[in-house]
Amino acid sequence: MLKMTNIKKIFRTSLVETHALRDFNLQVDEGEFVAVTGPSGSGKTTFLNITGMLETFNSGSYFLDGNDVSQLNDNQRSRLRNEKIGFIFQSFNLIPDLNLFDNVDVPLRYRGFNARDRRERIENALERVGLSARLKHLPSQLSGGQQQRVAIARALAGEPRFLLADEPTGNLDSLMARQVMQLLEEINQQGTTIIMVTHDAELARRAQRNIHIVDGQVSDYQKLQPVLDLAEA
Amino acid sequence: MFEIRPILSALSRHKSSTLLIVIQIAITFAVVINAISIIQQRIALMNRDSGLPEGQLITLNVNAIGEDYKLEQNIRADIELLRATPGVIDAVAINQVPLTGNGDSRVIATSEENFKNQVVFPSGFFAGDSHTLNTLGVELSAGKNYSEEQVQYTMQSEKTSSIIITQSLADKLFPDQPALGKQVYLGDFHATVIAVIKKMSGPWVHFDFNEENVIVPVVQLSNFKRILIRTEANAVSELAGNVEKLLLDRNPNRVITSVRTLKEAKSRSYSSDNAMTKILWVVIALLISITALGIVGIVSFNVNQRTRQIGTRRALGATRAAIQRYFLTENLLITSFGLFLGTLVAISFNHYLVQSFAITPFNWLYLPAGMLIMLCIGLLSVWIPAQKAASVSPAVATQNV
Repeated sequence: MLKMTNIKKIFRTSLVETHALRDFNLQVDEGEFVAVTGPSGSGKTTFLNITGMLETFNSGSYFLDGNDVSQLNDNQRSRLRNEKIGFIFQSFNLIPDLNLFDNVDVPLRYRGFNARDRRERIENALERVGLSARLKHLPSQLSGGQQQRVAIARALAGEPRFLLADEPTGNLDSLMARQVMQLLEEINQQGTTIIMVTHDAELARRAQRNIHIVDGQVSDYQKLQPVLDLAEA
Repeated sequence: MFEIRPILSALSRHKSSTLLIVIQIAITFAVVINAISIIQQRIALMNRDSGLPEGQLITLNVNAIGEDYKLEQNIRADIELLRATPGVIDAVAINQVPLTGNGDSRVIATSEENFKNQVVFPSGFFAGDSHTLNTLGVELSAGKNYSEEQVQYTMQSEKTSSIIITQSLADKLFPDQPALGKQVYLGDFHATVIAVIKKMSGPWVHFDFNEENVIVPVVQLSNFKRILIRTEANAVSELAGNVEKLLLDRNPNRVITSVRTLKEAKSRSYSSDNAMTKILWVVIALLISITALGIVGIVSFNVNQRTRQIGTRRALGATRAAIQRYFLTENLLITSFGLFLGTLVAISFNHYLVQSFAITPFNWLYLPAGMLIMLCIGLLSVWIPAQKAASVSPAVATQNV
């Protein structure tokens, strides 16, 4: 479903060359819940960006749901991203000038759904995260946890095959974080593949599989417990 | 596809900046529409048909010196000399020259009673010999020119029994009937209309009665005399350069002044219109530039402010074209509001100008034409900032602030 082989990503400036990912290999199967951990600067965000086609890579191959990403142009990547991937960001990335309805509507408009279809999807998605009564509220009128739930609704409304979460609980208190994590688990149980980048060992423990990235490479394919041991050490 | 409702919703949350640019566009539109209307009216005024062969006429003034200067003898001799000069079609000693801004006018009525009752029409008053019509190069629509025998050389009054009037004056004096053969009254004498000129401008280009003129068969004898010369089309420049010497060689006891082609004289008469036209073009260019730069500035500011938002939209599936379209649509909406408001302001402003300065109301077609131009300027102004927005990487969405 998602397969990366020997991916390399190098950032170059006039003075420095940084190898963000080197010979990176990964396969994620349908329905998995994968946590990606690693120290700061290890390449987690670069991995997430390449997985979500937010950035290109220098070499290697990446197949997403049968599509050879390296062969796609910017427009094709945008369309594939819109169709296959839902994003959840650490800072929620809601558009402050738009109410909840319009925020969830953003990716659906790019998908080209008609107005009736979009309305149905938006209402369903917001109901799924428990915010169907607040369609007309602005993001600034919600708590952090509620904003992240809106972001999840926005990610889910287009019924993507993948959910990419970048530190989804990073800006939330522990109670909110637990609620959001519970929601992600429910979504995964309903069949959506989730890849979650996190620093939080407790959250990583709840994923089915953990990938640890060090110096731009997958250092371990271990099951959850040994990774947590490493994190604690 | 064009996200109009979300854009309107977003704009409603930034009322101040949106309103400022809307007002700027409205004022620019209102001023530009009225300025272009005024320019168009001035250009039409300057380019209107005078009925004269303007490119063939030369005018000059002769100022006699000395008490023994024989006026009639010198006038006749000068005119004969000029008419005999190669390249000259005709010449005449005349009291005033069309389009020059200087001259004589009279009020004219259809009867003495109407004159007393102030049912009168102002008109330019031309006096010259039987070559006046040919020198002016005007066409008659009715009647015949007066003969040389009818011409009076006089230092006294210009009383005469026959008169030639322009069609424009004839239409006012005798609406719906032919003027030929009718009597007119000029305050101290009656005269019969013997001919009607199709079209002829008078001296004052900004007067309403510019095309209402009369010609009488009189050569006024005075120390200051105007001479009008009609030349072959290709001889005007050369003769304008030589004519002063030609006249002074015949008799040096006078001063020749203001030797000008009629085009030069006309240009002087319209100098204020020319200046006004140029000033208005500068005002239009400045206003449009300031508004365009204002749009560039505000959109650039918005793009910088919304970099993360743009990155998020890209991450959620927006193509570069969709981002560009977003900013173009946003600008289109702002410009449309500005133009709607500007239309109301333009109409009100024009109403005020019409009431206060008696200008002609603008042609309503200026509004759609102006809107189209302003929309294009708006879109061009936003194009580069929108391109910049479209180039924002979707990876910006995952950068933590």
